Amino acid sequence: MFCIKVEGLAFKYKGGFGLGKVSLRFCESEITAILGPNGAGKTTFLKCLARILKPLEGVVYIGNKELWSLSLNEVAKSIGFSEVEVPQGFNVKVVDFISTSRYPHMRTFWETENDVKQIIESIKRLKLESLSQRKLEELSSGEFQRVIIAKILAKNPKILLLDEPTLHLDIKYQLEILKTISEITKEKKLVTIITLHDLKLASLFADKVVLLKNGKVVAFGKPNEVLTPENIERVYEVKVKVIRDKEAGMIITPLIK
Amino acid sequence: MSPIKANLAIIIAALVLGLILGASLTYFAVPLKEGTTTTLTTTITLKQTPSTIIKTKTVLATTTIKPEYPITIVDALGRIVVIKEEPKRIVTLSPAITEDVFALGLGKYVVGVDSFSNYPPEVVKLKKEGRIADVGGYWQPDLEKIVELNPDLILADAGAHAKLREKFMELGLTVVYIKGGSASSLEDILSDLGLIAQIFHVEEKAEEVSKELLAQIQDVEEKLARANATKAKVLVLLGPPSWGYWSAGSGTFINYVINVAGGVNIAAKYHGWVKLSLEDIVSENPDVIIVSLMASSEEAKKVIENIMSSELASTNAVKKGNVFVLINEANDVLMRPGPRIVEASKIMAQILHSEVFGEISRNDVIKLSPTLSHNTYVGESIAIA
Amino acid sequence: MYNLKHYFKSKKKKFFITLSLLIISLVFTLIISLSVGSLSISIDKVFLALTGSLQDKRLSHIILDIRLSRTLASIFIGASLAVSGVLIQSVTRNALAEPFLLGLSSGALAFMALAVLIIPSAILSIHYMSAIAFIGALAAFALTLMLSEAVGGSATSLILAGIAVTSGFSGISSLLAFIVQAKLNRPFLILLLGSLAQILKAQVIMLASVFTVGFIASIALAKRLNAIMFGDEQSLQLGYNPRTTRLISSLLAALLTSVSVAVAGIIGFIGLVVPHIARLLIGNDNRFVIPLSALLGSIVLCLSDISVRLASEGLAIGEIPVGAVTSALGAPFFAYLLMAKVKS
Repeated sequence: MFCIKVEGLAFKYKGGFGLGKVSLRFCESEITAILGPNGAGKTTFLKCLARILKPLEGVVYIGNKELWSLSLNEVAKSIGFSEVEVPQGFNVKVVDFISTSRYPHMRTFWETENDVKQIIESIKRLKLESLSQRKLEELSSGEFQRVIIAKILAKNPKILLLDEPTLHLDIKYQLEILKTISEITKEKKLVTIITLHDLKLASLFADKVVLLKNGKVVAFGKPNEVLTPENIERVYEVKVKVIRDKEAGMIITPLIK
Repeated sequence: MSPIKANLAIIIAALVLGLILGASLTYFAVPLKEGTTTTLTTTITLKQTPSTIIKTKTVLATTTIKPEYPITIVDALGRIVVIKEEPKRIVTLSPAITEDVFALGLGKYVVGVDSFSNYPPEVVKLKKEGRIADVGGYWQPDLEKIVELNPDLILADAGAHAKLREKFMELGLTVVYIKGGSASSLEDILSDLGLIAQIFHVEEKAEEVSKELLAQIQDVEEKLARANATKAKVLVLLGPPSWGYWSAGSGTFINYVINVAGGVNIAAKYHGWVKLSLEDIVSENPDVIIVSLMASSEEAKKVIENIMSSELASTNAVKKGNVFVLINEANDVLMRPGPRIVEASKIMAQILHSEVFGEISRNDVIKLSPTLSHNTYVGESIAIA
Repeated sequence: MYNLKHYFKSKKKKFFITLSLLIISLVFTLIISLSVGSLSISIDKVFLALTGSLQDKRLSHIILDIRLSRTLASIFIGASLAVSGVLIQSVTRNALAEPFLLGLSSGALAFMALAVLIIPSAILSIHYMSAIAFIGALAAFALTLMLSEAVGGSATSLILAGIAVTSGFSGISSLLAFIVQAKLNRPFLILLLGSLAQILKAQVIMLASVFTVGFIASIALAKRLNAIMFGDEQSLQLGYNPRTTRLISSLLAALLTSVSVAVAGIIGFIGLVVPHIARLLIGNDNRFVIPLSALLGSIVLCLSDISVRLASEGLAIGEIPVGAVTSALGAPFFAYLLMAKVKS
């Protein structure tokens, strides 16, 4: 089984914040949600996995190869990373933006039939057909979010690292995106790691959950094991009540009184 | 290799590549050493003494013993040029050169001149009749027109046209450079005449012309010496003051003219063509200001008025009303390092020393009103006997 | 999906059609350039001359030895400057960038002034001055690059480093030029205004070879450039190191521009404006933009040179440097670009 192994990962920004030693395992066909308050290190951790930040200590294994021993091209083919910041760009059409995702795979100068197929599939998957000819600058943030996901999918990576993929989306699209991600993860046996703010969504879609606070792993495991009121209070410093409902699954609500 | 080292390596590789490319350019370069070393300002240093005439005679005399053609000459850029047979189609690229050629009686061979050439008058006539072509401006001669004329000799100015050398060679045209604008005295101009004469074996005519010109210069100098004239401090401006105070320093033929005419060039402490500062001029305090430019007489008067009311008002020249503007022919003769430099010297001598030569009254020398006692200069004086 | 598949095919089709049209235009422009001048030569004579069968040797001489060099030079320089413009704009992600941002022109000027001061006779040789200008431009670029890399190698640092180096060398060359001016008979600056008047065949060969190398390399980089346009992070996502892309691209741009400066002085605005026109025609994909820019650049410069020659004929004031024309024409276009940018 294909897995990502993180051993003793530590990172520090110049300002002092960072990650303490983290050791975790993420395997295929599973979605892992990384949760934690602002500044806990969720994005930092993701970027370390995506080979964007170089860790101070520790190793990341992709399968049985070290992350930093891979070439940029191999990393590009294997890992799909999305972040919150909007990429700049000239006036580009959605379909052209998504098309560039095929570059890591393209040995030819022009896109092959297969490349075109992948691009079209990912557009369909994210229901972007009607938007495909629009310019990036014209999209709403929600639409743009979907385009980013479609772009990553077109790359056909083995690993998905998505930073706040549901930001800016209304509830309908939040659910749709997570559903799509879930389907693809299972279908293509991907390793999917996403950072989320919303505990509810995590409980609905994640197979595993990581709770981070101040750069350290507080808990790791299945949602209903990890998302206990004690853990949540420890990490988020809020009191919550966790209810299990037959229909709705896990309901987590804050206790304001 | 760490990224920084890799990048440094690429930068160094780029520089090396650039150096190699640059060096290979010089491989293509037509060697400057076509002959001897080149300097732009070689001057034949003949002293201005009566014995000059004899000296020139001897120099020219030795070359007439050679066979007719082909003939090898060394031009003003130090290039060795082989003239295979007598040139019959000449193109001249500056007005001074045109005048040189006609002065030597070679006008019949001229098929093309630059657009400023207008002397002797037959040049204008022949241009109008289309018997002589206009090959364009002094700074940018039209190569196509030149090629069209199929000349067998191009006479060019070492200063202005040197960079066309390689293109001329590529086009297979024979070009001989004369000192022209880099002449620093009459002697240089005479050596230009001598060079051209050499090509056509008309050294005797050159001698004749040289003798005549030297004699006229001597005449002016003798008259000045006899009258014990006090030297005047002169500022020559090569354009209106609005262009800046451009003047001619030492080593220029204009400097020579000033000296011959009994003046002291306030720009002489600099070498070559120079832009003077206002401070310079005011501190030197010239007695006479002469502006040489292309303009109408109305425009010339305006220039004088400008000067009189400008920051130059504190100079002796303005105070005494000794501001002159040379236009048309007077301007031409001063600006062209050709045979008429002698005319220029006479004009300037008359301007500076009307007490010796009489008041100047040419319609191409503009002054505002009759000056008072403009021959009483405060400044350097030769010992009055 | 039907219309999406169609989209990819139609993009390529559009490109090839535009390419063909531009190639035809270029050929036309070339022929016109050979027939225009102080002597109007008819088109059929031009063709005869090109095939070596023109009887009139003088005309043949003019066409092949003067006009052809000049025309080819304008074509290769226009193409080189346009391609280097594309490279710089992509790599700095700035639509208002142009190759001279890198400090090339002031470097060339400074070195030329220095050379003339040290060896006054150097100004006599076009070859020496070309070589010196080339080396000067590259030296300035190397400095810019080192400065940029030292502070992170991002798009912004490249621009800022270029500005710093340009100012530095400008200062030096102004000082030197002032001294040089006193020694020469004419303003030194005229050397740098961009004129194609006396191109030598050897220079044309050099232009052609550098352009060919630069063009092929740029095409090879096209996908990288597409990637970097979306940001350094996106570039990494696609497997390309943005700093390497920036390094190689600016190096190519510098080479292409330096050789143009060396031969013809500074010709502005081609590098700025032509890529924009290409993008208007064909979108932002550099695989299309680079070849089209090359063609457009050569057509634009060749036409500018033709108009310079025609105007000089009519005005009879000696030849206007073509750099002045491109700058004059480019200014209104540039103003339009600025306004469009500000509006959006």
